[in-house]
Amino acid sequence: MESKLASLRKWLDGLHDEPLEIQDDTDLIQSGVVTSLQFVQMVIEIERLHGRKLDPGVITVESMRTLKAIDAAVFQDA
Amino acid sequence: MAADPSRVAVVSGASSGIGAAVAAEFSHRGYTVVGLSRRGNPALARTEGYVDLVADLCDEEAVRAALTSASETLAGGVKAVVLNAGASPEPTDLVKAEWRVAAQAYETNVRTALTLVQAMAPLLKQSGGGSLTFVGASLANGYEPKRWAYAASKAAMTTLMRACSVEFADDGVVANEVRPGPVATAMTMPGIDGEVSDALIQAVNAGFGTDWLKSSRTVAQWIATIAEFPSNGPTGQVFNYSRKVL
Repeated sequence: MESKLASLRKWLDGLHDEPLEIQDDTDLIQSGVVTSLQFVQMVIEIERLHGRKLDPGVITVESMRTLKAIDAAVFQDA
Repeated sequence: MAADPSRVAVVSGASSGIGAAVAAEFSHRGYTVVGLSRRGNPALARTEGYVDLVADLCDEEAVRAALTSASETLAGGVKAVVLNAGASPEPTDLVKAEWRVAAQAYETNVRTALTLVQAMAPLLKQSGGGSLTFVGASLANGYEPKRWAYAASKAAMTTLMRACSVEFADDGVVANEVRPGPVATAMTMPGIDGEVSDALIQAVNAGFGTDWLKSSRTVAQWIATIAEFPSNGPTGQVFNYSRKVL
């Protein structure tokens, strides 16, 4: 079964017409992988993959900035 | 028994998003609120002083019938009307834009507003004046080609607002428009099924170095405040909260 992180990576890829190289430490904001509105949708997608709403304390820009940070803050912490 | 007309507000598009938040804000401020929408708002309907009217706002007869069903509440008149109902078509390359889509946007955004203006004008006059507050869009400036259909309909709403400010001035009715800029709602962000948390909005604004993404709750407070302008207050004005030129 595909990991949640892999599913999220695929979801991010789907936002773009051209293939993207998203590394675990790619800054999703600075690199333009997500726009501000897509950032919100990304968090909703993370919640969907996670299976429940995120604690407000987890939703910070730093914990959502890279796939590595998301994995540590959400998926590995489940 | 008729509600105190100085504390009656009518909000269109009250089933979700900004409209639902505006209706809740008026309730919080002690108003009797009449919400109009196609889907209704079961959560608000359980609130004391909220009248949930279900009607397609493009259908003048349906609106008239819905308002008639609330005639007891509206018997003394209305103080504030917020014209929020609307929809935004998918962005499309201008060269591929279909007139059918543009016409539908006009129908949904302008016709609904005109219908409500015509239904509410006598009730606003009856209460000695009040306000018409239009929920507009910064895109109405017209510089986003892919959003032309939506922008054109919102620009038409601006001219309707200005026309109302003149037409109903002698009745003590002020007409203004709020352009909220990006708001986290289901219309702007498909997939959202409820309120976006303050934490998420703060994260977005911190990450992107801006303060322009807002919750519908925040916008609702501005709209209600503008809707409470006095009869001799500012009218015919556009209040732009988008924080950037669009």
